[in-house]
Amino acid sequence: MKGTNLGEFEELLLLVVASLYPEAYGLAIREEIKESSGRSVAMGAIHAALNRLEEKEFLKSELAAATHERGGRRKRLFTITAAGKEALEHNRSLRNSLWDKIPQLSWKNVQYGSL
Amino acid sequence: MEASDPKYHRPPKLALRILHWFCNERLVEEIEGDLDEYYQLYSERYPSWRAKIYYWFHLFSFLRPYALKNKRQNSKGLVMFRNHLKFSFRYLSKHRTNSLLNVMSLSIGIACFLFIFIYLNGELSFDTYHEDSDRIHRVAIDFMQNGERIPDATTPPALAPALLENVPEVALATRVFPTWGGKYLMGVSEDRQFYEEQVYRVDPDFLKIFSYKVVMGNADELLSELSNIVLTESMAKKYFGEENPIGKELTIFNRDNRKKIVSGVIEDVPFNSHFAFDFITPLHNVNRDINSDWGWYNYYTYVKLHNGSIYADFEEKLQPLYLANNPRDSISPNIMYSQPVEDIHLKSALKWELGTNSNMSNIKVFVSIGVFILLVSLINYLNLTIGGLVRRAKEAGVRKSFGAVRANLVGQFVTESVMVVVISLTVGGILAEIFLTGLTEIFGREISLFDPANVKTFAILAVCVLALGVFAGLYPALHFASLGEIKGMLSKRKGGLLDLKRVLLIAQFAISAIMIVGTMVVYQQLMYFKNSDMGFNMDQVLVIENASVVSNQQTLKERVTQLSFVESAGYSDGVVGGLNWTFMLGYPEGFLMNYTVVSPDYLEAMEFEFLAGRNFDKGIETDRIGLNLIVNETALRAMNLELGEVGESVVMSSQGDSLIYGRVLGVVKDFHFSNFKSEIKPYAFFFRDDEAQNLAVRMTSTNVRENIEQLEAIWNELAVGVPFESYFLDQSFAELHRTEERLSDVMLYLTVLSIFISFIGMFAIANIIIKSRLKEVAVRKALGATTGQVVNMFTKNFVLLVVIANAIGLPVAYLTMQEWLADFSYRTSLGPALFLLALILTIGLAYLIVGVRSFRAANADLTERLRDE
Repeated sequence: MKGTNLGEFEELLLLVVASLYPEAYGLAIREEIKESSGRSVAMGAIHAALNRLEEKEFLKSELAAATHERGGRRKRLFTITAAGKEALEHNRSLRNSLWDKIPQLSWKNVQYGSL
Repeated sequence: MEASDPKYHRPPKLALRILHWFCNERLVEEIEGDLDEYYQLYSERYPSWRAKIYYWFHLFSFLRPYALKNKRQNSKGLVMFRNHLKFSFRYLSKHRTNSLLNVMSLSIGIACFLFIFIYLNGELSFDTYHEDSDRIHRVAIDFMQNGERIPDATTPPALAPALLENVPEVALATRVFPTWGGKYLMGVSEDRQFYEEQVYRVDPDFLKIFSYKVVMGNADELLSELSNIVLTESMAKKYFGEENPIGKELTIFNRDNRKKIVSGVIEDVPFNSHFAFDFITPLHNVNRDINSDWGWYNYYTYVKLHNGSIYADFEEKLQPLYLANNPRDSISPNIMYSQPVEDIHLKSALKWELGTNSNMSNIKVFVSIGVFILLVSLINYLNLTIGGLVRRAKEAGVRKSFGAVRANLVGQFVTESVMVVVISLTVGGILAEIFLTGLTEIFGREISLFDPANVKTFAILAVCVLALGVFAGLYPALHFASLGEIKGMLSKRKGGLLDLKRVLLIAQFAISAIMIVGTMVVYQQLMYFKNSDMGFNMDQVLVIENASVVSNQQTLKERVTQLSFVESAGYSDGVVGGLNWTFMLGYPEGFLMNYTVVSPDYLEAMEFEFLAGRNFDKGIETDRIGLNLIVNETALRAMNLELGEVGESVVMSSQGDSLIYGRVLGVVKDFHFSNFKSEIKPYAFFFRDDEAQNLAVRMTSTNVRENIEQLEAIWNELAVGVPFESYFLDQSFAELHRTEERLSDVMLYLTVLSIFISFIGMFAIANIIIKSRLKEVAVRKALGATTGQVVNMFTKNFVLLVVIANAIGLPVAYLTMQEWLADFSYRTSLGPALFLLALILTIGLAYLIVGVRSFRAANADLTERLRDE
C-alpha cells in the first residue's frame, strides 16, 4: 500500500487524535503534544500534517456544530479511520517484534547512567 | 469564550486581516477559530505582548501551500496558449473581411511609418560619419548690401590660414575649391578620357578633418605633393579597372596635358554628405598668393576645433577677425560666422551650397505625415479590434460558464489581437522594404530595412505596436471578466464604446482632410512653377557643353544653325539656371550683380523680352568692352536708374577716388534663374568675343533623338576626341525644384494611403453597425420604409462625423500650408476651392461607402432576418 509508512510525527499525531477522541481538533492536539512530549509545534504544522493524513485517508474530519465558544467559529474534529488504525498497529507490531528480537546480551553494556 | 465576554482577549486585527487575505476560504474558519482559542488560552498564562508574539508566529506558520487561496488554474500555460491560437485562427477566418481590412490598414500604416522614418534617419545623419563631427564647422561670410543681408557660403582663400593662426580654438583648417562649373578632361590615355567636374582642390588637412577610409595608399602622404591626386573607389575602377592605380599617371588633357600622379584611393563619398567629390588634389597658388587674398570669394573654409573648445568663444572671434583683415569694408560690413557641419544639410540655405540641401520644414512635414498615418491606422486597429471583441460578450459568458477564469479570457482575446498585430508587422515590414527598394530614385540613394540602424527603428515600433495589441485585447477581456456570467450571455450591444469610436473616426478624417489639402497645395505650387512664365523661353533648348574645345566656334554655330530642325543658337559662358558669376556693382552703395557673358544670338535664341533699349550688336565694337550691359528690371532698380536712362552713360562703380562709368544698353523683363524660393536678383549680360563654354540650341520638337545624333555628328567632326555632352535646359531647371517634385510625389502616395486607411476604418465600423442592426432594417422595411430612407438613416451619422472632422482639420491644414508656402518668394495662394474640394471629396466618399453597404443591407432578403430568435 502506498504511503503507509508513517513518519514519526505523523504517528504521534495519529496516536494523539485517537486518544483525544471525540474532541480531537487542532488546538487540543497541539496542547496535548506539548504536555506529553514537551514539544512545541507550530499550529500551522499541525494543521498541515493533519491535512496530509486526511489525504492519505488515515483520518477523517468534519466541522463540529457551531457553538458559542470561539466566537461561533466551528472547529474541525478529526477521527481516526480503519486504515489509520491499521497503520498504527502495523508500526506497533513492527516495533514490538524488533524489541523482542534484541538479545539480553545487547543491553549488558548499555546501562542507565553509564558514561 | 466569545467576543462579547468581558474577559475576551482581542487578537490583533491586522493579523486577522492578513489571514483573510491569504487563506483559503474552506479553511479560514477553523484556522481562525483555533488561533483565537489559542490566543485566549495564552493570554491567561502570559503577558499580552508575549501572547501576541506567539500569535503572530502561529499565524505565519499557516503560510503553507495547502492553505493558500487558489490563484492558479489547472491549465498549464503552453497548452492553453495553443488553444488560444486555435480559436484565434478560427475567429479570424470566420470574420475574414474585417480581419483582412484590419490587417491591411495596420500593415499600410506600419509600412508608411517605417518608410518615412528610415528616410528621415538618413536625412538626419548627414555628415555625422566624420570622426568628431560635432567639432567640424564651416565658416561663411554673408554680404551686406543696402542694409540687406545676403547669405553666401563662399569665403576668401586667406581666411583659412588666418583662422589657424589667430583663433586658438581652431585645431585644423582647410579650404575647398571646386571646379566652379569648369570641366577637366582627364584620362589615362587618349582613348580613355572623360569629363570630370567633381574635382576638389583642398589643403592637406582636409583628410584630417573629414574622415574617409583610405583603401589604397599611404594615408599620411596622400596630399603631400602638388602633383598628387586622390581618387574615390568608383573613379579608380572607371579609369584603371581592376589594376592598382597607385603611382600611375592621370593626364588633364584640357589643361595643357598636366600630369597628376595617383597617390591614393579612398572610399566613395557616402550619400549623407553635404558635398560630394570624385577626386581631391592639393591647392596651389594660381596667379596670386592665395594665402593673403581677401578679395576673391570662391573658396569654402572648414575648420575643426580642439577637443574641449567652447563654440561660443570660437564664434565671437570670427567677426573681429574679418574686420581686422578688411579695413575698407567699414560701413555696414559683411558678416562672418560659422555653421556646424552636421547642420548644413538641413538648416543651411546659403548661396553657392556645394550640394542640394534639404530643409527642416520638409523634415517636419515628413515627420508629421509619418506620425499621422501611423495614428490613423492605429486608430483603425483599435476601433476594429475593440469593436469586434465587444460584440463577443456572449461568447465570453459561455466560456465563463465552462470554467474560464479572467486569465483565460484575457489570454484568448489578447492572443487574437496580438496575432493581428504580428501578421501586420510582418506584412508591413515587407511592404516597407518593397517601398524602400522600389523608390530609390525619389531618395537618390539605396536604402533597405535591413540596415542596422533601421532594424532598431523597426524593433522599437514592433514593441510599441505589440503593446498596443496587448492593450486592445486586454481592455474588453477585463471588461467581460467582471460581468456576471448570465449578464454576459444576454448582453447584445455595448453602448459605451460607440463614443470612443466616433472620436477616433473624427480624428482619422480630420487627418485625411489635412493631407488632401496638403497634397493639393504642394501639387499646385509645383504646377505653378512648371507653368509660370520664366521670363524667357527654355523649351526645346539643348545646351551643348565644353564648346571651348572647338577650334573655330563660329564654324560650329554655322553648321548647327544650318540643320533644318534648329531654329536658332547662341553662345554663352555660363548658363542661366546653373552657376553664374557675380561681382559688386553700384555707386555709391554696392550690390551684388549676377552676370553671364553671352553673344547676342544667345539672347535672341532664348527669347528674352526687351522692355527698353536694344540687344548687343556684333557690328558695334564698344559693345564688347567695359561696362556696357544688358540688365534685368531688378538690376535696373538696384542701380537706381529709370527705363528712360537706357543708353546714357551713368556712374556705375568706383575704385578708390575715380568713378567708373558704364552704359545700360537694354533692359530685359525679369526672369527666373533660380529656385522659386529666392527672389529674382539683379542680373546682367556682357558681350565678349572670348571663347564661350556653352552653345544653346533651340530646336523644333520633332524627332528629338535623331536631332541629337545629328548634332553629335557635327560635334565629333569639329571637336576631335572630345566626348559630346549636352542637356536640356528645361530639365536642368526642373532640377531646381527637385525637392518639391519629390515631396509632391510622396505626398500624393501618402495621402491616397491615408484616405484608404480612413475609409477602411469607416467601412469596417459601418459594417459592424449595420450587421448588428439587420433585424431593425428588416422591421423598418416591413413597416414601409423605402430603401432610400434606410440608407439615409445610416449615412446621416457618418456624414455628420466627416463634417465635424473637416471643421477641425481644414483650419489646421490652412495654417500649416501657409507656413510652408511662406518659404517661397513666388507662390500660389490658398484659395477656398482647395478646402471645398477636400470637404466634398471626404463627404462624397463617406456617402459612397456607407451608402453602398447599407443599400445592400436594405435590399437583401429580409425574411431570413426576421426569422431569427
